[in-house]
Formats: sequence, structure tokens, C-alpha cells
Amino acid sequence: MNFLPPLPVIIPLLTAAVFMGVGNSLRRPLIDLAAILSSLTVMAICLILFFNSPLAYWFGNHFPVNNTAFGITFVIDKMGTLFASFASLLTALAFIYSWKYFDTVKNLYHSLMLLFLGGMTGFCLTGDLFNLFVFFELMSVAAYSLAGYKNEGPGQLQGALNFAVTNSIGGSLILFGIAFIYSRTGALNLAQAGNTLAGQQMDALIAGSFILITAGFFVKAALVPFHFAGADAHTVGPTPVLILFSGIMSQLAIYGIARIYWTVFSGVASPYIHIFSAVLFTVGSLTIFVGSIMCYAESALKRMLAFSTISNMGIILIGISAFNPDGLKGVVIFILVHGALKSSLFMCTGILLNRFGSTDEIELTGKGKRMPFVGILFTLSALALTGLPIFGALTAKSIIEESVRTAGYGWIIFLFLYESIITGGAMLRASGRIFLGWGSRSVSKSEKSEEEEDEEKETENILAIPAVMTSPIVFLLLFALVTGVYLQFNPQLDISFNEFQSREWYQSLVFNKPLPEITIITHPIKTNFLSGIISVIGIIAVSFFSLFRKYIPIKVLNLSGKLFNPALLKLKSVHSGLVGDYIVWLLLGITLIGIVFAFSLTA
Amino acid sequence: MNSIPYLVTIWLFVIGLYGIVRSRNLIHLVNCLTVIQSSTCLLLIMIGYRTNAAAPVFKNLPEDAKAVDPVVQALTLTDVVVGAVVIALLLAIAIQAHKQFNTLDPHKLSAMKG
Repeated sequence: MNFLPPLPVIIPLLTAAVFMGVGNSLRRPLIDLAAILSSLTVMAICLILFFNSPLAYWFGNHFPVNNTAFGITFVIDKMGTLFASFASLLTALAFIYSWKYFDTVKNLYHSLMLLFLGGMTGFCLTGDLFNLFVFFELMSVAAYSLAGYKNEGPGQLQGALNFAVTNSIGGSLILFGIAFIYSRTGALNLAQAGNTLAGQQMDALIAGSFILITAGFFVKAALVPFHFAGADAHTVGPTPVLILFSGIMSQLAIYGIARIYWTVFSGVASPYIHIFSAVLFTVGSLTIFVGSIMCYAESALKRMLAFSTISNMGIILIGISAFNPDGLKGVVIFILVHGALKSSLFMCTGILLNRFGSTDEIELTGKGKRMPFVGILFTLSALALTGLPIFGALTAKSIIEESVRTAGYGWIIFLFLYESIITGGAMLRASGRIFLGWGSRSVSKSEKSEEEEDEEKETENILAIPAVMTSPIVFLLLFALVTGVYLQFNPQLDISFNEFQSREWYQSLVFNKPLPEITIITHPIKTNFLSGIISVIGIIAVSFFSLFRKYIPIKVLNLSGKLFNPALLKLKSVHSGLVGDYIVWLLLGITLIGIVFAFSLTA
Repeated sequence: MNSIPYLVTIWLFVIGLYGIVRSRNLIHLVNCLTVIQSSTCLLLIMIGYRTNAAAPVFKNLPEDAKAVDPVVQALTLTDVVVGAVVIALLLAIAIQAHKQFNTLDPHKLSAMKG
């Protein structure tokens, strides 16, 4: 067992290097197969580690002496391995999907995807601050180049550029934060740094390093007001890449915040936890609010899904802001279920893009009529993500609602309802338009049928969708269903949520001491079915409202137009696509968070 | 302790950000990013700096000699490498932008609105 921990990083990196070296002379199916196999191997190893956790692996057997680390460590715990295996699962599915999606890609694409995977698994498993940064940058660099890899639209270069510039500034912020921690503690090992910090008083340097690190991760996680470049990247990237962006990469940034908070800051920050909680909660709520509106206002499917991801990142951050194991439990269930469902939504969108060359719901009106299977999958995923109770997303949201209730944020349930209804309504509107041809388009019936007949002849072979594209979607839906249930009723995981939030436990693991007894403070799950029913009804109402505008009295339309349009236009114009503006927003966000901390720490 | 290096760090960071915000040329923008990266490097080096200390090569040093912190130097080196990769990638994007749109002005690339 002792040789396994480095393999999840080594295998993808090595395979990527081989592809780069000799990939040119290999045939495409061979590369595809090798890539799928290597990511599945990584997943298998991560799962083995998951069931054999916890353990600490020291590279080169440089074991720690007297609570001082001399080497670099991988800390194998349930949480890290769970995310690592999920990342490799999504990568494997993305490879299967891109088999037929891309006709012309070469070995470079597979290399970059595997580098991306290597960065993600390393990020999940590492127990060292600087390695965390290095793996973060590795996955970022792979992500930048993948975002601009294949031209799927006019904004591609600009999106990749914005993403790269903004995220590398985010990376610099994280490095500043790490440098601050190192200057105070002289340690880069997470456990050791936390140990040293725990005996100290909260001051500007410690708060500053927390702010910088969180802000850096916020950029990656695409949280308002750091979300602009993230939204662009989630829009322009090639679909198989977006599966990884939306499904796991953004979520890993939140995982990074959680990991660093509970291993390094939790000791020194515990008297001030209400401030941390309030800041994260505010950012999360703002993200949900803005993300949902933008999702509704978009007509390009990919961008709509991008903003849906952003609003869901807000939900995840709110779960973290509870700072208790219940919140974390909700977050983990939500990340896995959301990752699976959002990936399947992106895959359906990718099929539309691949067949009709567009993701705009207006342009696509009615075109999906002859792809009922894709339509059913899309609608089912959209509803499962926002309201349908059995898939686990609703349960996760209920858990998160419960977890922040004790801190006095019980009203968040209304924001979650709003999020579900608006984003779900937007996605259902799109599927109604695309797959059923509903919505007000003033084409007379005879013209329409002629047009369709023409299209019918053209698109005869377009409509044969290869099984390698649909089977991952079906698999992901089943995965969401099974995982949602499995995670809810797994007592072992309940323990691991408590372990993840215990600094003593982590330290004992890293420094090879007997593990302390963990008191379990996770509560049983109560799914709020009422909110599920309300959101499904609301989603249908919202989508019908937007699809059948012509049946609505003109006065109502005018009134709602007057009320919402100016604000909506303003909000849309803020997303200017200019990297300079994005940096200003980033600075504004950091400054505001900094001011909040400065006032509350001195008060 | 001399505070000038820290002031320089802050100055480099702020001026780099200012440059990116105001930039109308992709190459200029990429250079501003290197300025920001230099500021992180400078901060890392300064954290490990000790006055009158030798370089951290212990072969010919006496046992009790002071040396600067080698860890941050290793970090700086890694950071430089990471920075170089990002810069190379961004320059490639700039070349592509020039090929496709015949401009280096980020304001003229604005296909992504709303």
C-alpha cells in the first residue's frame, strides 16, 4: 500500500509526457484508449486509497522529527481521495465523450487533459502549502491552454486570455498569502504551520494571508465579484474541457480554502469565526443572487450553464461558511451530484453544438425536436439539479440550509429557492424551446414545415448520435442518483467530515501520533421536500412565463420590463469582456473583504 | 530591518496591476504580469533574507555560520518557472489574436459581452 499515494500524480504526468514525446506517431484510437485507461487507473488507485485512508506518505522517507517536517507529504484522507477519484472519473468520461466530439485533435489535447488531471489529484492529496500552490498552478496552466485549445466561437481567444491573466493574478495572491504564513511560522507543511499559528494571536498579517489566499481561490472558483474571467472561460472552452471546469475545478478551489482553513487557520481564527463565516456567507449569497439572474438573462446555452455553475458555487461556499461538519457534508454531496449533473448538461449542449453549430437557444428553436433522447436527458438533469428530490441535490441544499440555521442565517432557504427557480426556469425554458419548439416565434405554419422538410434532408446523418456521446450522459445521471443516496447514508463519511475539521486529528496523522477520538456532531438528514415541490412548480411557472410571453397581457410585460430591464442591462454590461475591468472588480472585492476584516478585528 | 524591499514589493504589485487595468496592448499586458510576478519573487526572497549571512551552500561553511533561508529561494525558483510558462502561453495567445483579428488591443477583441 505504501507505494500507492504518489501514483495518482505520476501516472497522468508520465502518460502526458509519453503522448507529447511519441504521440505524433500513434494513431488516434490508441491515444484515446491509453488516455481513458490511465485516468481510470488513477480513479481505481484513488478509490483504493479512499478505503485504506487515513495515512500520511512522506516522499523519500523523510519522516518528521519532533513535530517538524523535513520532507514533503501526501496526506491521504477520505475527503481528498474522494475528490481526486471524482476528478479522474470526470476526466475519463470527458475522454470518452471527446472520442467522437473532436475529429481533428491530436496527442496535445490528451496530454493537456492528463496534466490537468495530475494537477487536480496532486492538489487534493498534498499536505504542503507550497505544493498546493504548485499543483494549483499546474492545473491552472493546463486549464488556460485547454480553454483556448479549440476554436468554438469568436470569443475564444479573449476568454482564454482573460482567464489566464486574472487567474495568474489570483495565483500571485495565493503565493503572497503563503509567503505571509511562511514568514510567521517558518513552515510550509500544513499541519506544522497550523501548529505554530495556533499558539499565536490573530493579527493583521494572519488575517491578511487568509484574505489573500481566499481571494486567490475565489478567482478560480468564480465567485462574485471575482467571477468574470471564470464565466468567460466556462463559456468559451471546448465542451469536454468544460465538464472538468464546471464539474470539479471550481469546486477544488473551495476545497483548497476549506483545507487550508481547517489545517492552518482554525486554531488562531476560532475566536473570530463569526467574521469568517459572515464574509464567506456574504460572498456566497451575492454569488447566488447575481449568478442566477445572469443565468436567466443568457440565451447562449453554454454561458447559461456557466452562470448556473457560478450560482451553485455560491451554495457550496455557504455550506463551507457554516464551519460545521453538517455544512461540509452538504457541500460534499452537492459537489459530487452537481458535478455529475452539470457535466451531463454540458454534454447535451455539446451534442447540440456539434450537430447544429450553435448553442444559442433562439437559433436552435425547434431543432432538437428530432433528438428527443437528448432532450429528455437535458431536462432531467436540469430538474434534478434544481428540484427533483431523489437525485440528492435537494437533500444537499437542505443539509446546507440546516447547517447555517444555527448561525442565524435560516432565511437562506429563500435564496436557495430563488436560485433553483430562476436557474431551473432558464434551463427548462431552453429545453422547451430547443427540444419542443415552443416559444413565440412568428413563423407561419406553412413556411415552417417547408423549412423543416429541407432541414430534414440535410440533417439525416446529423441526427445519428454516437453512443460514446450519449452513454457518458446516462452514466452520469445514474452516478448522481447512486452517489446522492450512497453519501447520505454512509456513517464512515460522517466521521470523515468531523475529522476533516479537526486540526488535532490532521496533525496526529501527519506527525504519526495516535489519532484522537473524534466526537461526531453530524446530525441526521432531513430533506426539505416542500421546497423541492415549490421549486419544481416555480421552475415550470418561470419557464412557461418566458416561453409563452405572447399570451401574457401586455401591461404585465411592460411593467415587468420597466422594473427589471434597466438593472438587467446594467448587470450585463458589467460583464464587459475586458480584462482590465475584471482586475478592478477583483481589487474591489479584496478591498471590501479587507475592510470588513480590519473593522471587525479592531472592534 | 530595512523596509525598503517591502515597499518595492507593494509598488511593483500595484504598478503591475495598474498597467494591466490600463493596458491597450497585449504584449504590454503580458509584461505587466511579469512585473506582478517579480513582486512575489522579491517578497519571497526578502522573507528568507538575513543580514550578513552567507548563501545556503553549507559545504565550506563553519558549523555555526548564518545562512539565508534556502526554502524561499527554492520557492522563488519554482515561481519563476510557473511564471515563465504562463507568460509563454499568453504570448502565444497574443500571436493568435494578431493573426486572427489583426490587432493587439484587448478592447478590440471584445466579442464577449454580457
